Amino acid sequence: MFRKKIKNFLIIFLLSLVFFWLGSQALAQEEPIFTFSLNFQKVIRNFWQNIFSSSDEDIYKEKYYDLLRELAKLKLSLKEVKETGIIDKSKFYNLQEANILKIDQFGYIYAENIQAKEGMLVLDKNFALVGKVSKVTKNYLIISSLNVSGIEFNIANLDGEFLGLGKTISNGFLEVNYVKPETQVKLNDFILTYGDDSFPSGFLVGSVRKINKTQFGQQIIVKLLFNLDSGKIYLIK
Amino acid sequence: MILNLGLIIFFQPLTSSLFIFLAPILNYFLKDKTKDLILNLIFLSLITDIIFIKPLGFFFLITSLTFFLVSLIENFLGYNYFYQKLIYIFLINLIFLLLFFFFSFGKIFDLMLFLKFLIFNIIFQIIYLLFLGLIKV
Repeated sequence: MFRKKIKNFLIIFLLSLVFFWLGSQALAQEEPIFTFSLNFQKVIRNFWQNIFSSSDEDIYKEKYYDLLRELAKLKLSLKEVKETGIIDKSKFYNLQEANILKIDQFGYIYAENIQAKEGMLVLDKNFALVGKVSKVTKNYLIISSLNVSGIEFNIANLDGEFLGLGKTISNGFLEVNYVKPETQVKLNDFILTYGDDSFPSGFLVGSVRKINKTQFGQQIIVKLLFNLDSGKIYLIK
Repeated sequence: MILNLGLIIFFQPLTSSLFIFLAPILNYFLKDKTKDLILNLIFLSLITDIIFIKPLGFFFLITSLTFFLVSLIENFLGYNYFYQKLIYIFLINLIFLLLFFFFSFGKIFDLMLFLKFLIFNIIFQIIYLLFLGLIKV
């Protein structure tokens, strides 16, 4: 009985191998199908959102978070006025708006292609850093957001002081290990990108959620601040 | 088939931590309905490929490989029926997700995310199987 089962599944597996090989050879032009799928998924999500519209409590929560983000923007603008050099305004001159088609659980965002290039920076409506364009196809883009686990980049505080190497840990958080013990970090401090390695410096990443004292210094857990509820992202040309 | 298709089309776009197509296939596997299993496997996995924006045949390949591996180690499983079912569900999900993460990202990627996927899928499949059982009763 077991041998018959093994034989059956071996045949199915070989069939799937042939199918996959044929698919990769003959059906290489899958993009129109995927574009249709992304648009269809957007319709389905909108359909469910219309049925289960958010409650009053959710609306207040959204307003609260909007206010927090406004505050973040104001603080950044203030710093800019003080000529700390954290934000170079010229970076924001060529923003391109794009509609989000799909967001998956791994942190990848699919958006409409607006003649973007790989490596372009992606921001949300409040200029918080979302991620980077990782793949460009004819009709859509794939963006690696900061929700993708394992992305590493340098971070700094609002004073432009280097804190350490941040590493994304998925689910909307970033961890920074080995921050110097003498560095003053407080809860809810805003965190920015630093240097010009993975991301250019001065982009708002998140706020400090937790500080752990370790024998090697401090470990900081940062809550990412980007918000994609508007269904739009902004690419820097 | 139509129910499963509706389930995938209307609910799969809302979540990418659940593989809805795996539940009906698991149901046919546990009932030893090989023909239904193959038919559903080909059809539903293709739709899932399109929803997950994967190369066509990707889910068909990893699911069939999962069932092949499970059938290979089946000899080592116990014979108590209830526990056997749970063991099957756990094993199939474990192998399927390992293959999915490996072929998608080249590594396990993130243990917490992996566990989340595993737990969500197992719970969904148990609910699906219980629900089908209730309907039949």
